[in-house]
Amino acid sequence: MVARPEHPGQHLERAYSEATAQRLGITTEYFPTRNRDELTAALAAIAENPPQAISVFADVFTMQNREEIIDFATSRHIPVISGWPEFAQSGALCTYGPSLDASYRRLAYYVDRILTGAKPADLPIERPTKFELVLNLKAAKALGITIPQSVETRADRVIE
Amino acid sequence: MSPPAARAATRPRRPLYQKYFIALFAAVVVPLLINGASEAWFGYRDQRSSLSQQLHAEARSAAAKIQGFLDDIADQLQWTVQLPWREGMDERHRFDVLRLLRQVPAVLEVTLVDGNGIERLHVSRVETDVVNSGVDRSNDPAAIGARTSRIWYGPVTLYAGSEPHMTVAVAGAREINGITIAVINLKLIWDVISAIHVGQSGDAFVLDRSGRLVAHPDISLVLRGDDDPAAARLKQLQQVAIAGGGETAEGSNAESRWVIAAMAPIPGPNWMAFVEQPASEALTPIREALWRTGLLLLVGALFAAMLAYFLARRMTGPIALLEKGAEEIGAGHFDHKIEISTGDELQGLAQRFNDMAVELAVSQERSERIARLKRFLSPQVAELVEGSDQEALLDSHRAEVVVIFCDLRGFTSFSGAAAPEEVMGLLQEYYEALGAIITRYEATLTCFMGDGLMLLLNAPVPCPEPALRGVRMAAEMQASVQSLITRWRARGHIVGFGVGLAKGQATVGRIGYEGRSDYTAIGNVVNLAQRICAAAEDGQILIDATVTEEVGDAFALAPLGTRPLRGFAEGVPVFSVKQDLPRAGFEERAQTMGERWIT
Repeated sequence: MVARPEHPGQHLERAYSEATAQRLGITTEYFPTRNRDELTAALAAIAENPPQAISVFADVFTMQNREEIIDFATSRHIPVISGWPEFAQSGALCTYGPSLDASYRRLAYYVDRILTGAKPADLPIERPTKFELVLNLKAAKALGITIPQSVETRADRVIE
Repeated sequence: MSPPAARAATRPRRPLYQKYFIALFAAVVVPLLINGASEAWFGYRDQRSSLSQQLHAEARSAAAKIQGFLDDIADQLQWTVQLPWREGMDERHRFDVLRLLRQVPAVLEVTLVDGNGIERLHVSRVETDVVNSGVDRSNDPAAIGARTSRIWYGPVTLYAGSEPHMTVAVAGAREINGITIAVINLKLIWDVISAIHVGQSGDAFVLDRSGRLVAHPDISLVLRGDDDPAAARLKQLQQVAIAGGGETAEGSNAESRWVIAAMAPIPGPNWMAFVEQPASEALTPIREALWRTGLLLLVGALFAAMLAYFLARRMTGPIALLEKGAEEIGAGHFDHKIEISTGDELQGLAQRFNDMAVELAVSQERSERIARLKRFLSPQVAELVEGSDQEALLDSHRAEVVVIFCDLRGFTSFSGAAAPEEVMGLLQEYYEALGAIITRYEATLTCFMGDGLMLLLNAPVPCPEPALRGVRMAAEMQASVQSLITRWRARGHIVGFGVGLAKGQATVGRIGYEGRSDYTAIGNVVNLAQRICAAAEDGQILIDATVTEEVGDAFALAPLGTRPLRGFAEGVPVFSVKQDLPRAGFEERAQTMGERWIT
């Protein structure tokens, strides 16, 4: 798991991932990357001990450096999964997360409410309604992984 | 002509103009008011009922849309219970669920339960799949509900206190197909709800039976939970609507605006769809209609006022002119002309007034002339002269007239001795008595001085047998005055009365100047009569020869021989008329006074 610790909610994501992995019988290793130095160090550490897959927690930092991470993983035949579709477009195997477009629309709603005088404390917190599953079949082929039909069926977007 | 004070007292308290104005104004305004008020009232009622109908229609449409949304989901869920749970069907079921998740974004998680109520598959968007957990769900209310009514809608719950979720369970046609229990994220209803607009600023929202907000254009209200005051207001509104039966409800909406709301049920999940419209907007047509009516009323009232003003003026103007005219004429200004040209009865009336004024003027002139004449003419003669317009009669001409003189004997000494009041009183009685007789005999009084009178007969108007008439009159005068003398004697006033008559040619006519003229006779006969009268003693009527000729048979006459009279060269034969008078006291009087009777 590669993640930036300062990303809000990151600890939840980490806890959830680790719990689910434990249930599924997968061991996990956590690499916090606050900056490029830490990223380089993490990648080096990963290179020494290649995992079966890398889960990149989506945040601004990892977004900016996704190419590097994904190229690193692909060159070692390690599939990458993440939360945002941009990662899939850059070569991650699949991404599943809340639809950002829908979130941005809701964001506009909050901005409007605050600008018209509502107190932020009065506004409720919303959970995402729409989720997106993006598959990169090209990456799958390159990695030699066959994606099961059930997953393919569920995909919202497929990158050939 | 009544004095000004009396006139002022009879002046009307309220002018006619005001009464007409009020009457005309009311005649136009009252029907207008009644019409306007009834229109406003009925218009309001009609508008209200049409508004209610419209809102109800919108509410039913909103309810239908929501039901449609739910029905769509239920239809999609049906796809997952079309296959039975048999050996080897697990994958197929899994596929169905995955495609369901792909197809229906509203579904958050799906639980498939087989014919025995055992959970076979649980797929969620945010959790890992659970396959064949083996949990017995046959006592789950969702399962029970689905088995009994094919589609079961669970209550709306708030996940983590803010996300509205609802469980929907669908059972297959055969029991072996099992039951699908899905959790729906109701936020997606928001798209449906926010697309519903009523009028300019009306919208729709959905409450469940217990009053919890299920869907609202402002989604944050839904997510806030139950203890939000906005949600409480909506609950209140719902209660009003339920209490009102089929009527529209009025109350505060979530934003604390006063709204009119209609309600329609969504039968499936037992929700209620509400459609609200701000009262100010909903009632705008009513308000506008009222404003229109009010404006119309105002314009109508103004028009009525103007109309009333002009009409009243037209009516009372001529009447005021008439009033003024009557006042002027009453004050004696007979040349005042009332000018009215309305072409109706008022003009006719004005004309009559003017004619009356002219006639009054003529009549007044005539009265004045008669009054002037009556000063010397007897009333009958005056009327005759005036009426026959025979002013020419008064012109100078010669006529055969009978002249009568009479006066009181001993008056001079009496008037010197007695008090002025007694003298005047006596004279008053004297003239009153004589006046009546003179008037009756239609004699012309030409002058009187103190106690003496000069009368004419046969002038200016001729009369039959003037001499006879004159003597008769003289006799009556004597009788009358003698009775007065008796009374006066009792008071201590000693006077006598004598009359002298003569007949002859004289010139008669008016003499004098402008404003003061008298009718008189000039001639010998006048002097003769005067001297004869002077010669008459108390109680005597002396006549001359000419008169005697005429009255010889009618009266007993006593010739007194020839008397020397001043102014006449020869003596004049004088006769005395015998009368039935109490002669007692004459000699006494003569002796007492010791006076010469001849004055």
